Amino acid sequence: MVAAMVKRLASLAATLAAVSMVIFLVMNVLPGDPAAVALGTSAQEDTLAALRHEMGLDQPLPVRYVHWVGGAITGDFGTSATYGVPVRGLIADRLAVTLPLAGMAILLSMLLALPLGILAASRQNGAADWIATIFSQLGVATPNFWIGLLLILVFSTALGWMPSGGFSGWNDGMINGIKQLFLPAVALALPQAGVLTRVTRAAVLDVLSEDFVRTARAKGLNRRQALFRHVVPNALAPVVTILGLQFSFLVAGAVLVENVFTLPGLGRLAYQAFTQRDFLVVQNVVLFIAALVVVVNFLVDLLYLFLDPRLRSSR
Amino acid sequence: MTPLLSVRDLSITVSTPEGELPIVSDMTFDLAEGETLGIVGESGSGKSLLALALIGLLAPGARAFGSIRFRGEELVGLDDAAFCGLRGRKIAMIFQEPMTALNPTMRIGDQIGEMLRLKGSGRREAREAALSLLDRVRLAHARQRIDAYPHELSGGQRQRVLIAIALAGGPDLLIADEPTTALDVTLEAEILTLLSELVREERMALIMVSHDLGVIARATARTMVMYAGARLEEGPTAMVLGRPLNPYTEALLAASPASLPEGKRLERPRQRLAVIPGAVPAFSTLPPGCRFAGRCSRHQPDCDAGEPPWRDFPDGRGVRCIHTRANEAPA
Repeated sequence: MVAAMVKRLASLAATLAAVSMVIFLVMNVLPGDPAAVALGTSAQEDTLAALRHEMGLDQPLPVRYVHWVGGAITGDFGTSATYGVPVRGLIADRLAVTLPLAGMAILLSMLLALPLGILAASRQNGAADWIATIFSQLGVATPNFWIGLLLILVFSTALGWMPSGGFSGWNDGMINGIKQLFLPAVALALPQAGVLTRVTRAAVLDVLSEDFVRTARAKGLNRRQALFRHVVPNALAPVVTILGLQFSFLVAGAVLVENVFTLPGLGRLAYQAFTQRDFLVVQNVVLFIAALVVVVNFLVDLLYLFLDPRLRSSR
Repeated sequence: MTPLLSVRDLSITVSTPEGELPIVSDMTFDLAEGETLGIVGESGSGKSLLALALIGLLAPGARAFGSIRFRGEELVGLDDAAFCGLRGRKIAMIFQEPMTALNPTMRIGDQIGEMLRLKGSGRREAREAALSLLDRVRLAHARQRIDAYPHELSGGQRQRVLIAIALAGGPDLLIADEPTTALDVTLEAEILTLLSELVREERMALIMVSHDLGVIARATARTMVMYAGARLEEGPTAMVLGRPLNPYTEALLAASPASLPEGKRLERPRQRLAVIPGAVPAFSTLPPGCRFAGRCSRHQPDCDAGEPPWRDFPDGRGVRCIHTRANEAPA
């Protein structure tokens, strides 16, 4: 078990190293001079050169890469050219919006998809199964930003129940914060729930036909007991896999949805920094998001060990 | 005295793309308390379906008609909630595949104690019971293995665990569907001996379903021979296998290796095993007469006139074949 974890940790580190190199290369191949952006079009050539030197842009690529990664590891992401504040603080502020948003979206999609998928599988071809199928098809086929716009139209503009966007921070109280993040979370959750419903239904159906379910029934367990004690625990592994994979889609979706709802989150920060050619911010936010996704997938791997005892003994 | 189990005119249909097909038909037999019955037949003869009907676990799409009475209570059409009260407690079942019949994510002790916990036992109590059950099925080092997961056990050990699960509720009837088919020969003998001892000690009735005449001969006092969903012969095991009345039973015996116990072996052990020509007919195109007619060495034109009636003989045997005369049946 320890060996399995060490192996996964090593692959985590390797993935992060590769990701950081790709990000760095892409960002330094793209046209645009951060120093020029910072000083504006009327800047003098010698002030530009001085700023480039100050930003370290006149050094060779490998040196700049090592410098950047070394800083990132110690938590020093440099200073934003457009905001004039440390990138680290920027990310921390935006994370306070994006993390709860992602958490709420995952929670909502699980709350919707797991019961629906389990119900659909246990009543195959019944009414619940049809509802689940229609729901998941719609969910998969509808882009989250469009759902976001629809939700604003219905619940903010027409009904006035929810704010149409913006986020006033957590200092206004938990309830208020959750209320402001609720519609964006729903917009993010619905497409995810569509996929998750299908996966849950397929996984549960798969396990339902296993011999050990018949053994459980022969013991005297009724359908519901057999379903929740024997079928669902064995159907969780594929569901958790999809949840882990969905996390990266969720973060990508957050870029769009945060813009629709004008939320000051990580996705919006990345988008704005990109349009303003604040490469240092883009580079670090993208690295941070990549690290987040990789770490989440590492946690999913650990969860497997917990869910399936067969993986614990195999090395 | 009412028998423990009384099956009358039971038929089982399965819905297929070609419509409802009768897989088991005209099934009638009794089983007394503590009695052992073997049901033998080729793959696809409907014997497993019959076993599942007895414990009320037919797959959706399969339906039973007729009557199954357990201690006088009608089981055909019994709702699932009532059946759950019988399963495990009164009627238990062991399945064929020990590798897949256990939940891979649950410790074996929990799987054995599960039904006791549902009946209201405490955690410690259920664990103690599971431990003594593991001792009863002679799992070596039970105390160390009670917390093992199924993948940590061998096939024979898992089959012992499955037997322990079946015993947990103290059933009166144990149904074993090919319990040793997936095991090698030495393990098969061990498990059969264990089952026979447990059946005797617990005074359980046993229905052993198998395609293997050797298994049936070792474990049961009575035997029923099934072919294409119908019973062709029934009687005391020694008589059915010693002096078969139905040509199909004869053919089955000739096709079996010398795995039968002493006295029931074939005359010339070195002879080639006989093969029954042809295959079991499809249930959608059953012949008009005897189901075995197409493969029978004693086939005559009048075999095809209609399905031969079941005939009971006074000595406790019964047969479905027009060739068997009453005087052929030993007194």
